[in-house]
Amino acid sequence: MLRGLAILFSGLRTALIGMAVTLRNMFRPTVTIQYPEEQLDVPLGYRGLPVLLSDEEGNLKCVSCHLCERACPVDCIEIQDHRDEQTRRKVVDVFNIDATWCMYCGLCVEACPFDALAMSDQYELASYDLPSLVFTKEQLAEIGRRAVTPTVNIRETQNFGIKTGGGARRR
Amino acid sequence: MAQTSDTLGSPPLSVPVEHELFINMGPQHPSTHGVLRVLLKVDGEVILDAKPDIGYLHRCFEKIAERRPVTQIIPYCDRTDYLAAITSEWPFVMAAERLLNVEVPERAEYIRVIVAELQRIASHLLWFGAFALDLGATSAFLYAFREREKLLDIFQKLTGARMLYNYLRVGGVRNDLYDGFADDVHRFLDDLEDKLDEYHRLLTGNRIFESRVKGIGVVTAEQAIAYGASGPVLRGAGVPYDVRKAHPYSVYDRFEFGVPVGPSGDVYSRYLVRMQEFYESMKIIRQALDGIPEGEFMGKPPRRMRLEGDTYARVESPRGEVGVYLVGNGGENPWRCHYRSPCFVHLQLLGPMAKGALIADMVAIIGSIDIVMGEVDR
Amino acid sequence: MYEWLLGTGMHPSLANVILGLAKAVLIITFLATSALILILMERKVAGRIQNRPGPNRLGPGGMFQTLADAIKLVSKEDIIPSGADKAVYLLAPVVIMAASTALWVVVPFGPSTAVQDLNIGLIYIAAVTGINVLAFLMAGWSSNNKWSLLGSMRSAAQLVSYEVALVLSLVAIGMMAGSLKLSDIIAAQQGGIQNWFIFPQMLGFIIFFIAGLAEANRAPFDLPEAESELVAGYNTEYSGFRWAVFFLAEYANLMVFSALTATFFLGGPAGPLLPPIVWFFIKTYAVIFVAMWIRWTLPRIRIDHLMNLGWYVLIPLALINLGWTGLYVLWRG
Repeated sequence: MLRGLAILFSGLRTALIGMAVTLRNMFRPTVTIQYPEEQLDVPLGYRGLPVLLSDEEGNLKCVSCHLCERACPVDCIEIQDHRDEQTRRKVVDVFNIDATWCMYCGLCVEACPFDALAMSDQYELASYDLPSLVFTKEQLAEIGRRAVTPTVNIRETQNFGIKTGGGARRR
Repeated sequence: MAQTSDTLGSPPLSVPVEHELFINMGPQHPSTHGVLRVLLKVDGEVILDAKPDIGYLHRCFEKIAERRPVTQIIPYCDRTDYLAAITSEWPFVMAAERLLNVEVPERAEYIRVIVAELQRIASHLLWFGAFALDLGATSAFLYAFREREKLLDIFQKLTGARMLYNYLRVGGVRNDLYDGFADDVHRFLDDLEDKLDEYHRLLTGNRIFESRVKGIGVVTAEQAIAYGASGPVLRGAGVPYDVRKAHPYSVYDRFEFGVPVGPSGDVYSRYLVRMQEFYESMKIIRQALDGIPEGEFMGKPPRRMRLEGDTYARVESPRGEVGVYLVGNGGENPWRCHYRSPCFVHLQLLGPMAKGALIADMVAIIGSIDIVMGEVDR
Repeated sequence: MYEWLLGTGMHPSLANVILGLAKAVLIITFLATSALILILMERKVAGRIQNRPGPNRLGPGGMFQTLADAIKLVSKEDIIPSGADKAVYLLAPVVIMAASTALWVVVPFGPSTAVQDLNIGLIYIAAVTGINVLAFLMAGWSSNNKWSLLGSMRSAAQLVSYEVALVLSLVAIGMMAGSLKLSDIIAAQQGGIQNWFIFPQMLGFIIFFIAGLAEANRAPFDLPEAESELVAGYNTEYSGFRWAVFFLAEYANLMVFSALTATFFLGGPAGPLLPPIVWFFIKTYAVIFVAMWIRWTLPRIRIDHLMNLGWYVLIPLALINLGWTGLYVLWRG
């Protein structure tokens, strides 16, 4: 009998101690934000969708060396090119990144010797339409052109990426 | 009741008699921590036998590893034990470094230790939340995640990703610590100490919680050693085996930390061991941050990583001893990469642990093993 | 109201019947709206405890969230499992709704305003709480699902065990007030907070509150619907509107036990300044808040510990409480 009473009272006491913890938490401010109206700022170097970077004249820096294609663990990059007869340089025709395969590991960016690829801050990639998740050269270049951070030589810092200035939504 | 036929040739649970019931805690279940299927033979509420059925998350990791060079396998390693990605990458990277004779600079080792211990804290926070959630204390889950968010933010600033880092490389780490890393970590650890106090008040001392976990799922020390258990499961049974002390790797031998050992081999002991590991990890991190030398964060790995020979590298992950047995035959791709998953081994213990327990205890037992199916099935 | 109906020349019996039906409709409407409010309150309280806002998108403060959920549930496909015992399956939600509603007959909204202030109020409560057991058994059995069966067996055991302790503490209340009528119980607690029964009946209050939580299937006694263990227990095979009925009944149960706690121990619908019905709501919602607070803090009790608590701890304590109450009443004169 006394044991029963002891059980009840120890149960009540420890329950009240726990309830004090939850009560104290009721008066703490919320730790959530009202997504998608508010969005958290991702830090520089965040590994979102890899995008193509252009130089000052707006031409893609990519020379189609295929190193990123070989570095990718999941083979999500597809590149097709042809050699321009006049300038003797390679021109990229197709540069597709399949975002459903991409692991967002950043190995492609690390492999590129021309700083033509960067990890962007695009993480809102959900879509109702599966084929639209294969990003074409134009789409990737367009996101790359929105960079608001100065791109850095990958050899100077291993952790570089670009931010596309406001709302990862626009892709 | 008919004999179960879906056991794919392995000996089925013995044919049940009249008052026994076959229950399938199916792959989709709110508390089996991933896609684990447990076949239970129960008599009323008492479990007579439990048999885990795995393979629902098999993604052919080891086969894929045979077709990729070493740098490309590291992101796959993350995804085995995705809740403790750093300690999943580490044995693989260690094995490759041994085969290639690459030396890791001291600073890189310190960074690896700091990041691995932070990862241990993150993994234990998630374990704590999920465990509390399974037992019914929903708020503890959200408190644990509130803390884990801060840690994930630190990882995000450091590596660029929140959960699957691809951070460890052969010869070092991907990038150096950012300015302000030490301040962020110190601030987080100080806050964590207060919050751990709260968790203890909320859950550990609670009479209802104690009655749910004390004496449940007992594993004796002999059983644990016989089945090959490691980590908190082994230490909860009273065996003071920690890979960081028994086979010291990296720079762990420079740090002072204890190895918490549980009193009895029940769920409560494993819970206490993991809760104490928070404090031990904090000690290690603080010591490492104080003593971290300047230097390179990356050694000099060879340009062409031709693997020759075989080796087994082991690491203490939050779940136990993770090992990678790497075999090379001269090529850039490993000939064979076997990943020793601690949870795979611990699942064998489900049967002995669950005998005589109630169905409600099954949930506590599975939670106390801290199962990540990604690691079990690879 | 009755007089007005008589004034129209209606036969008194017919007037009584019409009045009774009107009260029934009123109570059911009240229950539905209360459930709406309570569900939102639960989610907001849970949110605040967990450092998050809770529903706040639909309407100011998330007011219309439950309405939206109700509309969604009503528009769902009606699925009946193929092996289910159809008649029983369809009747189970009806029975539980009836049980929850029937308890509201004696709940006093004012000093003597209940749907029907029965002379045998306390006995009526003790009797009607038993219908809940029937409803859960029906739901679990007819679903043709092992998990549901387990849930309903657990539930039946739990409800029956805690009913004994509940009723014993009710007896003590009856002794304190000297009557089984709820309006008498309220009257005995008039005249200020010192007369509230919670003080002499502290043990009875604890027993009644715990047993009430168990009867209402609220955490830490929510084993029958333990999400992480049995998916949803007896609820598993119910979807759409039928599930909504179970959900509604759960909140109606919670509210009625809170209202009864307020009536028996906290003085009921009475207090300074504000009209009695406002006090009724204040006290009831205060008890509901405590119940919700407990739910989001404590882990679940296992079925055998629950039975131990019910039989080995609460019932002996309830008997002790009876003895103490007897002595107190004799001493009081």
